[in-house]
Amino acid sequence: MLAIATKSRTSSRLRARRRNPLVRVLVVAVVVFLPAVTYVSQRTEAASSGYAILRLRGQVAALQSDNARLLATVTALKSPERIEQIAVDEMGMVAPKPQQLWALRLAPVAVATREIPGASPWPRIVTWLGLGEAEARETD
Amino acid sequence: MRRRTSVLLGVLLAALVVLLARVAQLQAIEGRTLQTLAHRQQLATIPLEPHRGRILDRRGRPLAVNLNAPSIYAVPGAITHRRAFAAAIGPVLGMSSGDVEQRLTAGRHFAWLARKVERQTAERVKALNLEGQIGFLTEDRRVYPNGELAAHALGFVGIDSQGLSGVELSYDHVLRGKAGRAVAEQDGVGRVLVETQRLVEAPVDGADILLTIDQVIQHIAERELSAVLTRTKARRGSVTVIDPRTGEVLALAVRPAYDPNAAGAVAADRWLPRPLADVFEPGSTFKIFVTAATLDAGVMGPADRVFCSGTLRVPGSHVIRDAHNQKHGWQTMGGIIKNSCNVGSAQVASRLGKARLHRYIRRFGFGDPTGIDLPGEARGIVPAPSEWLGPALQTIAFGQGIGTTALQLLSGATVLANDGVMVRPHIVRAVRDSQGRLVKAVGTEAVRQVVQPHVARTVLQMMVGAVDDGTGAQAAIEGYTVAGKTGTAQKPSPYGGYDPSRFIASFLGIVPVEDPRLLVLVVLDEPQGVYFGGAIAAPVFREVASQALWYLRVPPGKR
Repeated sequence: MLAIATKSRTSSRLRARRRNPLVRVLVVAVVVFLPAVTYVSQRTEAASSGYAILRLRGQVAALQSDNARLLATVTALKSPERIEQIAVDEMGMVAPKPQQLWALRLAPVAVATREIPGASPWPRIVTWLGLGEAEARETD
Repeated sequence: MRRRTSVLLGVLLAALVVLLARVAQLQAIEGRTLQTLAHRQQLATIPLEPHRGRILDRRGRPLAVNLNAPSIYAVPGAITHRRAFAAAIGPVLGMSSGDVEQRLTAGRHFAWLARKVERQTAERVKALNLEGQIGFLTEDRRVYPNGELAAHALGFVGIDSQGLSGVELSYDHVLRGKAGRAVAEQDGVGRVLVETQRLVEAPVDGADILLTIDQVIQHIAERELSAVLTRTKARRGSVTVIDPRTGEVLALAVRPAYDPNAAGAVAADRWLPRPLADVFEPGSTFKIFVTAATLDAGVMGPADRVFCSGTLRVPGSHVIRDAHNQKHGWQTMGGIIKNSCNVGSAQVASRLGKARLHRYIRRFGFGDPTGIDLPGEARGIVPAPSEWLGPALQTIAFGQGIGTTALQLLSGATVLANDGVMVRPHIVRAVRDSQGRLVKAVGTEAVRQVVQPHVARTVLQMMVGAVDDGTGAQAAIEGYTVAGKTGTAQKPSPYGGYDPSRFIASFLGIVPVEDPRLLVLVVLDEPQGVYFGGAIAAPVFREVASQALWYLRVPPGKR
């Protein structure tokens, strides 16, 4: 008897909950609006990332432009005319006159090279045994 | 109650039907049109402009590069007081108010005000706070960092970066690249929505061009040319240096020159690449070709002689004279070259005959463009033998009565440096894509065998005589064997005949003879005072060639 009474109370509570519209609204909200909100927020995020990319592209373009400008300036500074002007006006250099130059014909120079002495037996043995250390020394 | 409900339901149904009809009209009937309109408003086609290729010298040093430059446009429809607008912006742009107002009539939404201006100018315009009425775009501006250096070889571009002269014109199709296109949606203020961007066609940047010109040799040639023009007060002049083995143009110096950064600031005749566009009577430099033709035809041998009495009576009762009324006596072919003997050369040509001389002249390339990869080349003037009236055969023998360009003389002279084979001069060495990969390499192009190898070598030795002990003595370079020929030609008078007071002085030289590396032609137009090629053009050759030889590390090796 008591069990029947308890069962009937529970089912009536369930029916009451089913009748409650707030629950339904919440379920619909979760099912329909949550994906929509997620979608909108993603779109917003993508758009703001897009604007950030645009800004960065602008910065890249500006840097590339500055780089090109600097390269052009370097080229202008390296121009032979400018270098010659500095050499002549500021450093006092002069081009040689024909009579100041003399062409010399040189025979091939024979360069004597010192014979490299062979290694003595002891270092050879050490090397053969794998006990030798690499050594670099300046010679005079 | 029920009636009221029925009426309300009926009204609602009717409204629903109207709405459905409207939806059907918008979606089905006008759907496509409206979709197009929406796309037009939201979608932006973004032109992706390619960067123009750079022009570099033979060692990769930049001669023409690109810089970003702001361009300013107006939105005429957004400007309410045009006069006030023009008065505000005109002085900043260096334009009159009238000019600005005139430009505003170009369209309702877009009108260029100034293109490719300096950054500072754009900043000053921004400071006027004309937002909504003006806009800024960034464009590529062509810049020539070395100013006048090699201007006639490089040429220049127009406002839309289109080649108008020089290599910029002849290789415009290579340098220009190909524009691309992207489509993207834009927001309410016209900003591109990057996430919607779609590449329709990728842009292809223009290729870089590597010239045969060497910046340093070019500078040497220009410096020496400027100096001689100041000394001689010549009207204009040119120095052209080529590598006779390959036909590569190492320097193309022309004075007066112009700055290609501001080409519009000078008269158009300054733009002319004179070594290939100017036709002139070459004078005595032409004797080397007549000599080569005579030897190759077997009409005379190197040891055969003619007698020079100082004058020669020729058909038409004309008298040919030598400079300074010199009498050279018995002259071999070498003597004629060495002493630049007009009388001897005229006699040689008489023996060769019109038909054969004409045939050789054409074989040496005179009367045809050399085919150099630069625009504006002239073909010269070579009359047909039937038009050689009076003493034409004899005068052509010393370079009067025929018209050539400097480049034709150089091209013809490559025959002497290459055992009788003529090579085509060219100015582009290679083409590289924007990543630096080689796209095309231009090699040596042999045109034809013009004379027999031994003939070419013999004439070259005769030219060595002209420098060692003849009219070209001032071209000698210590340590090197130089072959050369002087030229001093009277200029035609506008009233007929020749003007006794106007000359073209020239010198054509090859060095070192053992292994020719440089072929140089110096041409000075209307020098004042001393006007002989041997006196004013030969020293220019010496200076240019000697410095270029040191620069190229060509060791002395005179035998």
